[in-house]
Amino acid sequence: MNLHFHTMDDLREAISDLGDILARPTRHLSHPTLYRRRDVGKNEKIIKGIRVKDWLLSDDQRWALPHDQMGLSFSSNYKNLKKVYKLKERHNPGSATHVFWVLEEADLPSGLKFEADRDKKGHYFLTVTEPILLEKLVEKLRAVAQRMSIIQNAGRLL
Amino acid sequence: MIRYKFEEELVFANFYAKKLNDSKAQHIFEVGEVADKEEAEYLSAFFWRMVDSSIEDEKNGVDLPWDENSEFWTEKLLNSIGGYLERAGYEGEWDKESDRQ
Repeated sequence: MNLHFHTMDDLREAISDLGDILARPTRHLSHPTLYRRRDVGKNEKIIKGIRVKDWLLSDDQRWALPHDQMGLSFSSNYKNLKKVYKLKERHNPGSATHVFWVLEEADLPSGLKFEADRDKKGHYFLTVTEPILLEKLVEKLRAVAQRMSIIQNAGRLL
Repeated sequence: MIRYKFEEELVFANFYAKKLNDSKAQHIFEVGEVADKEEAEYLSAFFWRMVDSSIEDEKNGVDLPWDENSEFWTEKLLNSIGGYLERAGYEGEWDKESDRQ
């Protein structure tokens, strides 16, 4: 499924039609679940596309460890998504921001689970439920990305 | 109380409250909560001023005391501050200010 939007109202309608989804605004040409060097701070550490600060890692930084409030951020409602979207657009002027989404009930690779943020309505984390080697986590995050669909900001791509 | 996932979020917020010479925001971050609707509106507006100021700093190559970019920390703060305002009964103020942006 490949949807487009021109205005935030278009996006709201598209989201409401999709039902229970988890969405992640992502800058044009960036990956929805992994990071490139240019996506992060110049002194920030990423390992194979994994943003170190997102996850609870072992001391040797080879493993991602279970934590139900750490992982990749997703929005589960339009209200939260809209604010995160605005934030991303503001931080990336001149670049289109698209919305990648996956059904809340989608089958995830083993060891991954969506967990609600205990402190914020509409915000979820894609977490790990067991220790996972970062090489394996990268594979699993790629698999999640393959299951995601995109709502493109067509207005900014014209 | 505002609940932060990372201690650095408060460091970031205090840094910009001081940089913007905003004693009211500094006070809110010091006590960790807002007193009333007016302060809730103030905190909501301050959040977006902080975002703009941090973007300006990055654009100007200002050396900042954290390794992550400001997009990372402002997204964390969006959820921490927004979550607090919702719990405190000020979701409307938070939404209204965000809609203005």
